[in-house]
Amino acid sequence: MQCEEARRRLRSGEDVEAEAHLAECATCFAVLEEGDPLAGVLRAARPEVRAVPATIAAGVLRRWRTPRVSWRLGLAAAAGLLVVATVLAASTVWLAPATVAKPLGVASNGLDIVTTIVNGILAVPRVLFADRPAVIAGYAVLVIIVCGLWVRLYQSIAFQRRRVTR
Amino acid sequence: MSVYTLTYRMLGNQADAEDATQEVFLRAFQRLHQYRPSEPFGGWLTGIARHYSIDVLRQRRPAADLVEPSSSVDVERTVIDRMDRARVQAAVNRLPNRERTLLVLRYWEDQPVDRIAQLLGMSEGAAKVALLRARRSLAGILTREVATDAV
Repeated sequence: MQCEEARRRLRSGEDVEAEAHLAECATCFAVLEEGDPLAGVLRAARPEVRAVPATIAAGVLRRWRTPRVSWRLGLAAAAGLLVVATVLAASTVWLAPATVAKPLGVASNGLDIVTTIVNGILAVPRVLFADRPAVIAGYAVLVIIVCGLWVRLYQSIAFQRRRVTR
Repeated sequence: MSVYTLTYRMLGNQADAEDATQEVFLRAFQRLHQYRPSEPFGGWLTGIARHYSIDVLRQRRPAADLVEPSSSVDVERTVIDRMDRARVQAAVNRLPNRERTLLVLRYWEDQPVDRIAQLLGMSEGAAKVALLRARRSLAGILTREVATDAV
């Protein structure tokens, strides 16, 4: 289709064939746009630069301070932690029942509680790799890294901000 | 141009513009590591504002009164010549979100067609045709309004 014919058809209404031409023709688009008084009217009706409301800055700060906890991400993190803890506990009970013979409830003081937890966490590698202290140490480091990553994940969840409902 | 003015033009009302401006600044701060100092900061910031406004418009419900394009070109031209700014702005706000976004980006934000196509996820050719149709829809609204006034 020739440009003139396409423009004539497009000026008089919708025309699928002419629109297909328009889609490919930069000249027709420019000519039609410049020849359309509505384009000029639209440009002239552009809303002016507006004064920024004084409440904007306060609103940004309010949002910044309002933690947004994504329940999906939080749930996934909690479920992941639960799975890891369950596997750890089950393997400890199975492989090193003596470690859990003394429940936390009867621990005499804070240090006792911490010792019991650490013994529980390290029970499995201590049973499996009793003769290789480097592996046990590596396992301990891995546990620390995983805990650190989980804390970081929680922080990143809390770092997101919530839309403040007006 | 300020982020607030941009969001106001894109979203068409003060409440949404304030809301969007706040969100844009938060996003900018959270994504500051993505900013490349070789680019103008203002352009980067308005880019975030433009994308966010388009997201907001996409989430809005479609306009209840879908506009039928008009084809009575001569009548429209007469009518359009007498349009005042406020009336045109109100008519733009009555368009379906997609058409409104196209017109705002093109005529109020002076964006090139290829950029508009990129922002709205369409081909450049489709954007050209959509712009033409959006202008027709707007002309239809304005013509009907003036006809109603005359009655």
